[in-house]
Amino acid sequence: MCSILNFQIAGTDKFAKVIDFLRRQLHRETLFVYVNSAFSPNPDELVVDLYNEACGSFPEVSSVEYRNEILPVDTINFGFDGKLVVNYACSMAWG
Amino acid sequence: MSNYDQWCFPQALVASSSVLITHMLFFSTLQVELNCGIFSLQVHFRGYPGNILTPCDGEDSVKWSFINSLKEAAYIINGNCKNIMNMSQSDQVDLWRAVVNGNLEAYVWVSSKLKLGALGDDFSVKLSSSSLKSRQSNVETDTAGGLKIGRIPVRLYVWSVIEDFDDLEDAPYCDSWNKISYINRPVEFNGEGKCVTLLDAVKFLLPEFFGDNSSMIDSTSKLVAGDEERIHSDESSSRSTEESGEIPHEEQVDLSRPSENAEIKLLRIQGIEPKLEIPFAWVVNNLMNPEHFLHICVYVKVPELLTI
Repeated sequence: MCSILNFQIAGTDKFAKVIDFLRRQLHRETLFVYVNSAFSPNPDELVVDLYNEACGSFPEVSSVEYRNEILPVDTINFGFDGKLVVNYACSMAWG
Repeated sequence: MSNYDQWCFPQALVASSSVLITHMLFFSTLQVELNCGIFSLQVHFRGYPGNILTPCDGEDSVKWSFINSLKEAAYIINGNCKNIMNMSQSDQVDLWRAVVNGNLEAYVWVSSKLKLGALGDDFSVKLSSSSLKSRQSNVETDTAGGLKIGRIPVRLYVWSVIEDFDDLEDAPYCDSWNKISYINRPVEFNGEGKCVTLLDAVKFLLPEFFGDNSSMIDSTSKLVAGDEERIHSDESSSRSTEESGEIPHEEQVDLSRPSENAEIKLLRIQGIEPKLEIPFAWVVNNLMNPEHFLHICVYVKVPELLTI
């Protein structure tokens, strides 16, 4: 069973902040972080840009949902409630 | 996790901001400086910003980063990465070898299998800002009805300056990556319309600067409204921005009042300065990077930087 945690982050923050946060929380130096189980963004991309890329619209709230499991892309219902879904894995996934 | 895009900064950006190239190449233990005549190239082997760039372990990590950017582009275009994920191992190797060797013929052959091409040579398209809700069905309509609907992944490097200058050599010196706004926004097309020029596309991408005079873009008001919300949410984060010492950039411009006299001083793609009147579809088809992102470097002169 996966655990889902919700955190708020400003849209103007860079994705690097999300990665740093997860690294600190998990006490891991190496972490592979994905958006919508699909791609691993550049650390200096803005969260708001990723939200728009993932969801195709401008957000009212920029919050980030972290999931610690890997789900097939199709099973995720993302983006419609102001959330950017971030998945992480401790080893590389999705070739 | 290396970063293909920063390993492969557009040349125009590098040329206009020599400091950025110091962030380009990172290995492990040495520091080397060399002059290549055009600009000074510094290679840092230690002391680089590890939160943004991570060490390059070798070619594989650069390849991994390239494929990731390709996935991101595919995600923007199709709403999923299936085409990339389903690539055969040999196609993946062929694609990477083509990129490394600059073999256009081989690259076109492999990348055509990915079916990421969104635009034909007919330059008449209509810009729009569709939401995800319509995007999935749009893709289907696209294949069924042959309508020109799609999203073009764009990475923008925007440097907004207040000072006016006639000659690029007189432009203010950009000495920090933080002064560049790195923006990832797709250009969206929705059905048939008029010929979209490069200028139209840039105005669509940067409503903060040009939101008031692009009447042909039906979604402008929505874009601006969305940005207003973004600004309000920025207020809560203003403290961290101050702490990090970032200089004001375009996110802090009052987005509800687009700059009336914003002016594109310089626009470079792949190191060249294309005319702004040329069709955007041509730009996409011919100047796109191998990972299917169009990288646009733009200097924008704004009347004043307004903060909320």
